[in-house]
Amino acid sequence: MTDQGDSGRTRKMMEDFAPATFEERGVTVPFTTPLLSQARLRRDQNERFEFLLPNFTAGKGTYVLPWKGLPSVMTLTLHDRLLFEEIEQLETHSPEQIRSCALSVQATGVCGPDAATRASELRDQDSQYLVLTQFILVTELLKLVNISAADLLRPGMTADDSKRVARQALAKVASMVDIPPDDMTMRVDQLGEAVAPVGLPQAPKSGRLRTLSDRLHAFAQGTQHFADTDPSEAAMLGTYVSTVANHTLTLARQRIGRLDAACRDARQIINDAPKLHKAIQEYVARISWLLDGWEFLIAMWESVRDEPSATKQTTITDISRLLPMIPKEEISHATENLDLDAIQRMQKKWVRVNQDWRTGVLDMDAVMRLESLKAAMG
Amino acid sequence: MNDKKPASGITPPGKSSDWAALGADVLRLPDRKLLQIYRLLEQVGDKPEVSGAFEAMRPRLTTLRPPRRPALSRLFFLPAEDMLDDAEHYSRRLNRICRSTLSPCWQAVKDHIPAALQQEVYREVSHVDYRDGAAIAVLCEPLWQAGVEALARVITDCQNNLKYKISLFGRDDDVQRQLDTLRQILSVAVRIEKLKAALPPRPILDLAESHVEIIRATLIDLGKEDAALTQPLLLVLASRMQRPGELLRMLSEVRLGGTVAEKENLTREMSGYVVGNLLRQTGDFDRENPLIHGDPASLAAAAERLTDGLNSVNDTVQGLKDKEISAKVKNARAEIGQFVLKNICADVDKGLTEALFGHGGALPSNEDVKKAEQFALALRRSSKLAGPLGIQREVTAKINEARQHVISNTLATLRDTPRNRDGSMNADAQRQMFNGLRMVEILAGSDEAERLFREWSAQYR
Repeated sequence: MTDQGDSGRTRKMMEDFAPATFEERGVTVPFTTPLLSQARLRRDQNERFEFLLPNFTAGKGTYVLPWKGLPSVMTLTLHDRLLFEEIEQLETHSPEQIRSCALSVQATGVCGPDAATRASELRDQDSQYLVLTQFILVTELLKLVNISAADLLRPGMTADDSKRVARQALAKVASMVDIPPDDMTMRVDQLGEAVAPVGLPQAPKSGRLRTLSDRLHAFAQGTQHFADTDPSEAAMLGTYVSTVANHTLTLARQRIGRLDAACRDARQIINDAPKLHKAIQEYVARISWLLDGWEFLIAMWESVRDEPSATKQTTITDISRLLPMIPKEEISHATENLDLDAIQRMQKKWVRVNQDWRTGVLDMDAVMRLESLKAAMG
Repeated sequence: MNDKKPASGITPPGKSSDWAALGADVLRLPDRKLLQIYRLLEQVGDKPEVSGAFEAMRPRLTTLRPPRRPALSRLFFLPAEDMLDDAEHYSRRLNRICRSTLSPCWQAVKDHIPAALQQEVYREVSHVDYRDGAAIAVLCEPLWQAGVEALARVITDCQNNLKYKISLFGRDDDVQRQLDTLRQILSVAVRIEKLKAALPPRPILDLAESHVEIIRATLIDLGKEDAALTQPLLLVLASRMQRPGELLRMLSEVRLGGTVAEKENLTREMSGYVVGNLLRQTGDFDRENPLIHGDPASLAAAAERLTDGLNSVNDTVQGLKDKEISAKVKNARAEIGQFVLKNICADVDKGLTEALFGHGGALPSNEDVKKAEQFALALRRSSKLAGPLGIQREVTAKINEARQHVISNTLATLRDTPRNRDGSMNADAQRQMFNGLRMVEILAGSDEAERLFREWSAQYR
């Protein structure tokens, strides 16, 4: 969509920049080669991998390059070479799968000890959260046969006693729909796996993507505060970043609300588990796509919280160039009025090019800054 | 919060020992609470009895590093902070200021600045974030304006009254030149502080188009007022830049107002300052200087900054056509080269090997791996400098040596670590392999690291 500005020139609006679908936008890959940072991966018309590189042109647009062409243009870190090998093995490329791949490569130590430790912690947290989610699903099912969590933990009961009572109760639930108890356990396992990235609303601790949406809220407020108080022209970029973050947040919260509603009634697990499973998968996938790429930007912004305003101005420029654009199918009126042409001019003005890619030599300081952000990501 | 009420949970202590006890009690609180109390105590102000509380809290504050509330004297000298040198590194005739001059200078000028103004500025500043340079600039403007006049009076008094001068500063006449430099800087203090707030923190490495625009606009504005006012601003700015030569280039392109001769004179003086200041810093490398006994990566970064600075003034030095300066610059490069070889390259391979493999076959801790990374990074930085400093052969040989040590030690670990039951590499061996690959990547590049990864994975899978 375009419209005519006061000067008569054509203004570029949000839709001119936005991809049609999430697949067209591509999935963010947490590479550590500075020019590849936050590159987006997608498949071309011939199903070959190609990358969208927002960092390549220092604010003058987004380059699209096939993977095979990259080594001839820049030196890639060993981490990125190994990560790409892992990605190539995947059949589909969702944000969740890319994250899982990235954490397994990061945990080797190839991008530094702190990032490796963080990757191990995150993988542990994921498995613990999965157990918690599955436990909550079981307790929800047990309520259907009038057994509460407290019944499993009565004074004097051993762990084996609790397990026995839970098994018996689940068998009773399974008998309600005439399926073997093991099938009921399998349903719980599968539903738990599907919903765990967001988590259930009644869980004592929020799931990863639910927490990320809360952090996105704080990020949107922080960048808006910057926009309101910074005296430079970079304030305009703060407004832009905050607007897109708020828009994304609204959409993510809508989906989370729908997911919570879908999970509210435990009877669906016994009555129509396949339908529920499909709905949960779709909602979680959508939330995951919506929030894809934001975690890195939030970590970038948090890393300059106590820095002088000049550093914040440069960082907000970098963030504005890396923003995950919301696909056209999701665009609402909230962002329609942003003059992206003006924003692009501002981005070019504030960018500092400190990587000379023509030499082909890796800037290890820049690589390590990216690695430290990996170590700080939740 | 009502200022008159004490902070919740804190009863205002009376004796200084009570304040110290309060400081010790506060140490039991979590970071956020401790910082809240620290800010409340700061508002009590510079009272001797409160210092006990700060003293007790200092170990935690060192880690938390809350922004400090600057003393009024520090605010006064803030615009000149980039021009200050310790007494043992101070060079005359460079428009620099010796730190030992500041204390007597403040003693003298504060008597000429109205006490009410001092109190007002101090009170106003306590309400803003001390890191907000632009806000500090606005609030301190009256202090600096009054300071310009006060300094002029002190300079005149020193000229007219030898006893007064000696009692404050001793017999050295150079002090008067320092006071004059300070006066000139304070006369454009607001512009300096606003510019500092708008530019990246020091050392300024790269300037965006917007930064260049801000500098140009400030110079042009000042030039219109009085071309001479640009000099103190340029002195401060040049001291903050890693490649001050770029500022000289910018200066040659800006129309400042004033006559052509004035502009030429300003350019010549600034070139002299920039080159002289770089030579002064290089000179420090050659002395017994406790400041440069850091870790190898910091030393290499310091050498890189200076070499970068010297490279940036190449054109300027040639333009000056001064054989003496050219020879000095050449010597400075040679000195930095020797420094790099002696202090960074000499034992770096041993340090790296010790950090990564000196644990009796056990895995190094994260801290040890980071220490090894710092050694490897120091060598990598040195290799970037080797060309301009003429030490390429020595640095290349050292990198090869370090790389070989890493490879042979990693291979030994892979050989000696027991395998998993299925014959695959166990988790510890795998981690040590990646530690080694990381060092090779830093030292010799990603292609070499990938080659070794394929080789080792095939051999020890």
